[in-house]
Amino acid sequence: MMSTVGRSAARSAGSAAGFVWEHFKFNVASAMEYRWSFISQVSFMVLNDFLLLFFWWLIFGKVQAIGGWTFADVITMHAVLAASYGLSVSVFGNVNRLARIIAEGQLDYYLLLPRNPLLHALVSRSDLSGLGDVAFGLAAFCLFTPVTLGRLALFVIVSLASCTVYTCFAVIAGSIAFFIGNAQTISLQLLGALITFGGYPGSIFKGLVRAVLYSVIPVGFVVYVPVSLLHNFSVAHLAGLLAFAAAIAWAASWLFGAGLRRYESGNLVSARI
Amino acid sequence: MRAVTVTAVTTGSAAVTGLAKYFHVARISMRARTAYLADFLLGSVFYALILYVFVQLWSVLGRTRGFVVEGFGPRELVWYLMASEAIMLGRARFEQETDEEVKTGAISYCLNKPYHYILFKLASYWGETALKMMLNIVIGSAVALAAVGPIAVHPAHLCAVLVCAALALTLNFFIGMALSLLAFWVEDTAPFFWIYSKVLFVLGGLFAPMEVYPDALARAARATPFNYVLYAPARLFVQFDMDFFLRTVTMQVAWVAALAFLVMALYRTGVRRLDVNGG
Repeated sequence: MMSTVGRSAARSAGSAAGFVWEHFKFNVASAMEYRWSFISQVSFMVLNDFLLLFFWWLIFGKVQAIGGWTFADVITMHAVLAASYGLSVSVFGNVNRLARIIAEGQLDYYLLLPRNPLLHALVSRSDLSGLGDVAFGLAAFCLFTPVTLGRLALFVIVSLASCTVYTCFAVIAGSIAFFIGNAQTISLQLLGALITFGGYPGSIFKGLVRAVLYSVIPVGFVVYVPVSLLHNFSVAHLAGLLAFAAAIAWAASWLFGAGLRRYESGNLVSARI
Repeated sequence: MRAVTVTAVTTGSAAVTGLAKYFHVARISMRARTAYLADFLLGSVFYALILYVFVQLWSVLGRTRGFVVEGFGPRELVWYLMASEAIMLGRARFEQETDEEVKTGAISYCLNKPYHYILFKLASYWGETALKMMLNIVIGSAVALAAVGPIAVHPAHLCAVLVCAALALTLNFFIGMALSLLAFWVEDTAPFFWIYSKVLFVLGGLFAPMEVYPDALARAARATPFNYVLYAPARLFVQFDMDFFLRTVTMQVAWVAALAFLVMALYRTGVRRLDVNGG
């Protein structure tokens, strides 16, 4: 029998999910007003992502593996990275702009409303080119790697976990703005570093850099662990990935809350219509 | 005779004054970038990061059986990437701004100014690009030197490569401007730029020289203008060859002229279609 606390938590999670879904639907509907823009953004992003595989096609035309990674592993890597990043920016469209929102005092609007200000700020915009990334991720995974229903389900699970890690890391990077003011460049550099490292086989990085990629810039949990799980499933690794996703979600929420206590409203005059 | 001389001097003076204003635009654009120096320098971290990643990749591939690129060892591949990425990341990003100016009608405010919009944009582009290129060359050389050691480059060849790189960046401007001006006809030009950057990646030889490509693909890529933006200057930097240099410069000038003509035609046609709502 579920306790009162459990029921309350479930109700709260359900309400948050509904809130996110309604915002996403609204943002898609707005984007559909500019139909060519929407269609071109999504379709060109799919093409853009497929062209990324070209370099690896050239390299794997000459070698069988790079540090133990096969062509299928590299495609899986790009598929997971694209799906998780695409999901993050299409649902939580302000995720890469959080530092700017904080620095310009634009959080004021969300603080006045009866919803979690972090969640509200993240979902109030959608970058719908991310849907092209998600489509590419699914298509590349299904077309170029051996796919079964079980592997497809695992791909969805690890992509959701990876998306959580990316989104929370972006919140942490953006929350730096609470403490140092103008943190847009450093925040974008951290996110850029994660995406850059995530586009190359993890086996080429050794020593200290490898340690950094599993801690300070958690690309290991966004890409390398999911690829390893899809290559060779292990319950312990999946549990580790989910535990890290839960831990970073808690850390992001805590840091944003701590930063919010230092937040000073801006005097920039802006209109939300 | 005197009248002819006076006319020639006046015309020459007007041309110099005309060019001087664009020089000032370039200078202002350069100074605007240095106003936020820390921000500007941090922007180069990405470039250093890419070089680091590729140093790791090429060193792993260098130890892998079967990976041979004609004329390029791991050291040359790293220096090739240093040059191609310096150009790729050194390009000022004017496209989004131009797209916005066209879409919002802000371009109309430029029509009655004493400059040509396209030349104004070119000057502004070059001001920022020159600064970014200088910084990229310093940072890239430091990373490549630390990672794989020096390569032999003759100073005269270096000057020739700089000419080739300047033409490459000008060619990039006209391609970018042609795509931006399509905003007169379509809602959003951003997707064209995603594809352009990937076309540079594939047909421009961003990460690897065309010696890595299968023959048919390398031939196809060499027939496009994109290889003159990245591959040709980067290859000349690593392996200078006078014949290849002359061929490259000739083709770059031809492509710049053709695209400049296209851009001017698009601009004239587009401005005639301009429809601005007051407010």
